Amino acid sequence: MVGGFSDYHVTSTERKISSQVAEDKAAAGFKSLSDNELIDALKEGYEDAFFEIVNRYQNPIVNYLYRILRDYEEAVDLAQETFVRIYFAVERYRNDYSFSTYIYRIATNLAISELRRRKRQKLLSLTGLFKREEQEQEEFDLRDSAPSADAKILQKEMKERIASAIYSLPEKYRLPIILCDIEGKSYEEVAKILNLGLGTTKSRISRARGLLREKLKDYFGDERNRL
Amino acid sequence: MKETGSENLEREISQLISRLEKVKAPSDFTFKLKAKIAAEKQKRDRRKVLLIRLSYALPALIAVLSVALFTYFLKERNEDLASFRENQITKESPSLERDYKVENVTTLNREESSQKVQNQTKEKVKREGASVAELSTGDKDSSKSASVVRANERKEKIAQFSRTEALSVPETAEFSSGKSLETPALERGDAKISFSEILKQIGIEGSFEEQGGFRVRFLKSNSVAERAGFKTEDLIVAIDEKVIGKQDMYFEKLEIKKFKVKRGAKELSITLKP
Repeated sequence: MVGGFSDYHVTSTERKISSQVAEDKAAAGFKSLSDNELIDALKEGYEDAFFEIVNRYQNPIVNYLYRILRDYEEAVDLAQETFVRIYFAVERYRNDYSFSTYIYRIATNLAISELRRRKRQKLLSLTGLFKREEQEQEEFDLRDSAPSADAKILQKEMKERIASAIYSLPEKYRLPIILCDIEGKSYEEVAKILNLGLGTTKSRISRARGLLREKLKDYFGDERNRL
Repeated sequence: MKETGSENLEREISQLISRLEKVKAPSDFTFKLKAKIAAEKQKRDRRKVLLIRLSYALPALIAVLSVALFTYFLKERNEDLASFRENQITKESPSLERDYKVENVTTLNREESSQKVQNQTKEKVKREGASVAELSTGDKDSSKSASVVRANERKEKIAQFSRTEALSVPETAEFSSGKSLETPALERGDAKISFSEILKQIGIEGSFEEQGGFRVRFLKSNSVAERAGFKTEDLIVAIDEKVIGKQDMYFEKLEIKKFKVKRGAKELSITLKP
């Protein structure tokens, strides 16, 4: 599977013709193709089309999953799992909605499963817990005991604080706000990804922002200008 | 104003969040993904192969199992049949034994009865002989013939009585129980040689009489029977002190020596000469 067109086995005249088409496509480059066209190419057996999709979505998906889970390794693993699922379920993919929505939905489902698993088995690693507590403590300490710290450190501290505040949000508020404000998805897209109504999505995002403002009110007024 | 204020705050929060730095995928993301996909493919191929093997193996397994079960049940059935037969045989065998026992008892009783009968007949014959002697002083011819007729009738009655007694001896071997017994096993043909066959072998042919006994109709010339002194129209009443009934009897291999024969009014005892 590692190869691309070279591994695409030609067994008949038809295949030979399509391989010619594939070569043409390869010559044109997959980069110019839309997501759905790339999926069609993958359905025809062009694995390079799949890796073009991977190139396009790997960073947003890893970022999205990282913001949900706050565990980079886990986020990378789940992102890879997302692509594996897309690869093996490509025949089942329909062009009813955009590929972006499709891939985010898969990633979201995997993330939710992981969060539930964590909740159920209480598998939050002890190191992760301590780290978070330490970080929180550190953030408090830093703020109190570092009036002379430079702007960069404060900026980093503030980002950590915001990330922690997002992670502390309940799941139903965390997912829409990440999709909307971090991934830059529209309300409609968020609604489709999370399989919610548009009104529900909007209210949840608004509520999430309100909760964040509550959590960051001590810092909001003073620190926001430094970011 | 409040709404616009909250909207502004929301926008500010949104902007703040959007400024969070984007986490990037590691540089080996694609490489690891390819390896993962290859591993998954292998896994799926193995599963497919396993499924194919199962699709062949399962029917084969089912066939083998069904054959094994079939043979097992067949064996069970045969064993059941064998045990059933054994049971039947064991059920039958005691009855056979019992029959033989009964037969032995009956033969013993017959011997006893025949001895008794003999004694009785001897006594009666003596008595009648005496009465005949007494009567001979008077009307000799008429009285003699009348007494002979009576004596014959009595003898026949006694013989009949002894036959029925001998045949109707119960299992408990009570001689005079009066209950009729089923035909003994020997008479049912379980034994080897029949009475008529024995007679045939020694050169006698004839038929059973209604009153009991075997009437000699034909004698083979120069046969054992002829040499022993048998004559046509003789009535064989007993053989080795076993009373002959109106039906054929069966014996085990016996060394027959003594025959009790009625010739007219006389009763003779004939012994076979080897």
